[in-house]
Amino acid sequence: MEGSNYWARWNRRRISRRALLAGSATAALGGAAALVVGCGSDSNGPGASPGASRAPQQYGTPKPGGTITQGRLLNVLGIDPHIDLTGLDVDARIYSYLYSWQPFNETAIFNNLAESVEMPSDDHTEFIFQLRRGVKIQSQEKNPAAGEEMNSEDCKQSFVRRGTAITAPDKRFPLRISGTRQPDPVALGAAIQTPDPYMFSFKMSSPFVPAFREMSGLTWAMVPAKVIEKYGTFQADGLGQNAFGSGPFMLEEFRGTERIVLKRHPEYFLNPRPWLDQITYIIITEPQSLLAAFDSGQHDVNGALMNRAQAEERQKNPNLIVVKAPTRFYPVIHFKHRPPFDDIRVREAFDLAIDRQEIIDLIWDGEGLYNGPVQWLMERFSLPQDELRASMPFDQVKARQLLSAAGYENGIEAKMKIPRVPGAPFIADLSSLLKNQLAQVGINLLLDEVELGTFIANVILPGNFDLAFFPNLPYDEPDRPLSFYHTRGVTGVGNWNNYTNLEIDKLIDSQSVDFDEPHRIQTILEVQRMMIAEHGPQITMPGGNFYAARHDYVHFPFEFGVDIGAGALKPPKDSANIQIDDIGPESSDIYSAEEA
Amino acid sequence: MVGVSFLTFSSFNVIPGDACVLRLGFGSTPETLEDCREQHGLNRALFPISIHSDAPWLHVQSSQYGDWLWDIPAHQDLGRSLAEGGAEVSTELERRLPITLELMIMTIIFALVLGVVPGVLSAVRPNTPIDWLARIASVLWLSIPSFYLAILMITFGLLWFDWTPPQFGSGYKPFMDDPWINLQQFFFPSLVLSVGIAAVIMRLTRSAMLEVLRNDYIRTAWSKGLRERTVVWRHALKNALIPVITLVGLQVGALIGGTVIIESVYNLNGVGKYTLEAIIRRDLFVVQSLTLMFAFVYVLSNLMVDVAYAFLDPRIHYN
Repeated sequence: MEGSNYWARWNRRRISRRALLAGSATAALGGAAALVVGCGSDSNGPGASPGASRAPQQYGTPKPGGTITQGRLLNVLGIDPHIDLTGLDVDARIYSYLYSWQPFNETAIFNNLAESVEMPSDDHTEFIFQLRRGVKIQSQEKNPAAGEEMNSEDCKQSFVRRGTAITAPDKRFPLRISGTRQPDPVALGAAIQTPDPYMFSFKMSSPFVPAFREMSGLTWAMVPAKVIEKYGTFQADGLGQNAFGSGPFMLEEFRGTERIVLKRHPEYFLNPRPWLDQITYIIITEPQSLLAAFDSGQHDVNGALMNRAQAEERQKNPNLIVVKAPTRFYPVIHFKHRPPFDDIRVREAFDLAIDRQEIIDLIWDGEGLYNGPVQWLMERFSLPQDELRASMPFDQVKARQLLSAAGYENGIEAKMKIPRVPGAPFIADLSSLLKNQLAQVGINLLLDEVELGTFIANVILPGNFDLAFFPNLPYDEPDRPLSFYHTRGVTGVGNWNNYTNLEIDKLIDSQSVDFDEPHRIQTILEVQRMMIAEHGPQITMPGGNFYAARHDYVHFPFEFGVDIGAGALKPPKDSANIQIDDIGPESSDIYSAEEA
Repeated sequence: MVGVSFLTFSSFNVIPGDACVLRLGFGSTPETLEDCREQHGLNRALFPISIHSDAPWLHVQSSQYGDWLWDIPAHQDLGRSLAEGGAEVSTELERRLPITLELMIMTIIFALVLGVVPGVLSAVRPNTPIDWLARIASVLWLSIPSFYLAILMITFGLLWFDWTPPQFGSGYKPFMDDPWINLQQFFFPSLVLSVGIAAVIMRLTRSAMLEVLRNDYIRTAWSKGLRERTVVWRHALKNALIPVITLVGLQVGALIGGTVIIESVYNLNGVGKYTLEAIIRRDLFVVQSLTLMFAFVYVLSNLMVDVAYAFLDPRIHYN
């Protein structure tokens, strides 16, 4: 077992934080943009994207003090970490979490509230957490737990609240703790033991590999029990607009459509962190205005999504640091499993008619990689690029032959529904490109762009589509994207595509309880090959990069992304060998070399 | 206004999706949707009266629309946002309304200055370079979409002066806190928003002035030897302004629509931007309240126009 499963690496603290902190902007922008639609993976911000492929910049000793203003494209509708999904990157700076996660190495880092974890049972169902002493809750006037120490009861109540939150789409993990079929706060609370203030434990009813990853997610914030009691219900002055945590920053002002101000938490347990006195988020929902604000120096960190041309323009400014990181959007086309798309020949023809290289060239500025059912960023679980390219050829002749063989020699007409997502023009661009490509083999798409709310309510949820295009959201654990292909779907009540393949179901189920990592990887690769051969119910498309910029006096402990022009990114293979200090990556490590 | 709120509520419930669907996202299940709707009161009946097939035929009940409408006079409560952590609509309006009102007032001032002055000059000096210039300008102003002009202004402000509006970096500053910054925040948004209205005003002023200038009493004024300034600005303009003022009143509706876009581009967190965001996330009670408020503003502006008639034309009296 040593070295061959997830748990063997738990206690290794001297690991890379470069990769973990890499792409915090990716998480903030890509993740937030994804979360605006009300769902998304429970992605861990500081570790939500691959790290740099160049050597980290050396800044020397961080400089305490100063403030940073960061632009932000999307509104924060609320900052309740258990309920609201649009402000998770802000929550990450306010609350403590049990531990952090390095998604691409599947490694836990115990640099936060939990000091360690034990898993005494052979089937990995029992967790015993030892909590760090001296983690002080922020002292604010309205905080009922001001100045107190975080303890096991806080963790228990946070688990109960998060585990039964209505906004959590995937409740498989908390239901295994409560042992119930439906979310039940009483049963969940009873299943969590708190023998002393610094220990809490629980046992799941059945094994679940993604559980350990899930607990590190940003929605699993540890909120003081007294705060939950006073502010935890849905109310005007509740946790949606207030925040009382034990993380590096305290909420000073919250106007989610305008401005969010965080102040330094002076009693933060990782003292002297955080280095900054203040972080201010300015929300500007018009991308051009947001970029202009950064260019004129009103923002220290750019919040707008830039394309390559915009990034290269800003790279000419020697006072800016411009980097790129992979977009974590993951474009797919959903098929409804009914005529004509229940005929595999039609689906294959559809797949063969897509010129993925052209998508990379035109939509992703020539930089991009193929995606299988598991996104390429999860390198250990995704199929190799060579294999993906070989299994997703562009062949218009064969596509036409297959259509003829299926009885559609005169072609097919189909309506593809696409969502109108604010700030994501590439959805319409990519849809138009697909329409052109497919028309060349006789598949005539009628693009039906609908407003996002309508798309969710009227298209996806009831499965009301023949074809639906959507950028899938970032996932850090392969179980989630695979579950879209499962008969039960992600929510457990059925997939949107009416697709059933019992063999695929069996493999998805087996990998979710398989703690032998090499074996699990083989299962995941095998099931992906089966999915690709099925040409549905999702057809996956390449993903590209996005670009971020900041003024050079803003220092992140390690770069996210790489210098632009360095080619498509790959997850760092060597990151596990990079030595860092004992405390591990910490989101408060950002600092400014200039006084406010 | 009640009719407007009723129509808004009815149409809002016809379009698919609600705040819970958006909040829960793709992972929502029938059970979680029901929970969410229960929490937000969206599972109540839509209207206070329902019709039954058997006696009693009419049934009065707690309802989304009825309760919301009743709470306005009874509790001075416009309801709560279904997103934004349940913020009270009235609190949000208190903060945002001054922004939009200032924007609208400055826009109207700009529109009148940019519309009336060139319109008069154009009418007084027909077929001269001034006339041509004013007419070309009005066509241009009408042709350029305001959001495009706004982005151009931001871009050129940045390229030429390395300047962007101060609210991009610090958020809104009220006039009483910092008048200079406040005026910088509103100058360009108001200007952008005003040009389309100014163009219409200019053209109407010109045609009204041309008509008035041909009247006998103007000829009489000239023959009395009055100065041009007196004839034009005192005798002619006052009479020509009646249709212009009517137009300004009607343009308030367009102005409200314009604030939705311009507030987003210029990052002014006013009522217009609030409306757009509320519609996108299906925030029913926010949309209801804002629509009601817009209807009120529209009615009020037209009432003010009626009052202005009496000032401009002594023949008009209201008893």
